[in-house]
Amino acid sequence: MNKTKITSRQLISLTAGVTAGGSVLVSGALIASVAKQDAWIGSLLTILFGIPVIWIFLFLGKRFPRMNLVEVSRELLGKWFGTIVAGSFLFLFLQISYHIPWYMSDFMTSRIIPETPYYVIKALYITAMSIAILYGLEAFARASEIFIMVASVLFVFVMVMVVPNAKIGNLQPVLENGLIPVLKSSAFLSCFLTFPPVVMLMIYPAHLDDPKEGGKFFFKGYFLGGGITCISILMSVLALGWAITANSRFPVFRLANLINVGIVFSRIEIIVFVIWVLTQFIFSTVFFYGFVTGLSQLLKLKDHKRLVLPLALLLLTMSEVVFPDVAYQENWIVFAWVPYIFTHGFILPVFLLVVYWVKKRVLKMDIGDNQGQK
Amino acid sequence: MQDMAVALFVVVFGSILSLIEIPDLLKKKMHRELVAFVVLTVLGMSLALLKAFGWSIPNPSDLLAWVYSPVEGIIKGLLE
Repeated sequence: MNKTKITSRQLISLTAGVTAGGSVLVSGALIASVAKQDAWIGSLLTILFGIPVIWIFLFLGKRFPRMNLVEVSRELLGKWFGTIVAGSFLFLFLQISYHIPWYMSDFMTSRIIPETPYYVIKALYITAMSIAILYGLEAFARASEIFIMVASVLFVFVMVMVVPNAKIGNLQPVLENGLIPVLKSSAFLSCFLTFPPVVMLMIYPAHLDDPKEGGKFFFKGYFLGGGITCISILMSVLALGWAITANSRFPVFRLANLINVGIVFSRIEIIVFVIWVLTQFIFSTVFFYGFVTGLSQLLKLKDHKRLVLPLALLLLTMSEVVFPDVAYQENWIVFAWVPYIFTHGFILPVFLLVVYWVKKRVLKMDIGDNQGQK
Repeated sequence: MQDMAVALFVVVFGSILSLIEIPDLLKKKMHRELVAFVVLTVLGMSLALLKAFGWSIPNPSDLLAWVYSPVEGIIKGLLE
């Protein structure tokens, strides 16, 4: 199973997709409602605070260059407890794989094609995810390179077009309420930006053609994805003001509504949707891939692709069940998602790290390092 | 109505998939894969049917919201 290899450039695009995909369209409103006009400082600080977290992921990856997250937790925590922790990670990955089709159908039916049945959108989206995994990680990683390139170009284009609408007055007064609301907002943004890349540990060391150099590219991808999110939040606050940003469900989409240069460049908000679909597709497919490969490892299967299509049927039904309505989702994302991803993206990796140190330094056990020589 | 259509689709798709996959898995003697495949397909079909006939499917989001309900106060503090 470790034969599939991806290049460092593909690691950048996958990480950027996972970092930006979770946050670019959805989290802006939450951040702006907490930090008001200073949301952009909050998002800059989030990228900064994320560096140690990413470093923890990289550290775990470097010590176990032939293993993914499921194998690492079983190696460190023993068979039973390790399986429980790995299963809990897999449950997170499964959750996200059917959350994203829900978001997609919610967005499409509320903004673009209101008369299409939502099941059709979900079925198409889940089909695309399944095809991506059936083609294998390499094909999908190559596709993600193109996706990120297209998404970055379109993103720069949209942001440049928005510049005439920006009013610097919307950012003032800077730090009106002190630094506390800014720090609070960056705690929320971390849950969409910094912690989800934990799923990259299913890919990062084991499937990389050059595991030693991987860390640098992981960081590059993180900064690219974080930069996209940060700029989108900054421009939303600059052009819309924090109050409108905080009150709209999809601030960046609303932002692109403002673009109106002559007749040619009006109604190009659909470009924002394209950016969102591209990054979101990378995001959800990496999580689905993590779930499928992790599950087949827990069950000791040889071929993980056999599970993709039955799971796709499961995703189709569950994506309808998971959020009954928008109000439920907006409440859930604050009160359940934030602590949930904090547990899995921060507490459990730190716990694994501490266990590694205790086993290595205190108990002097031979663990991790020598696995790389195989 | 939509739920019905989806249930029909899931059952038909699942049956065709099983007809193709199960003989192949048996032939290659991949018994673990066979068990996992059958369990997941049956689970997917039965959830779709339950939803179509109006039963309430246990929602994992409710479970997570319940697990993390003790920290609600901390998050409310962060939101202010």
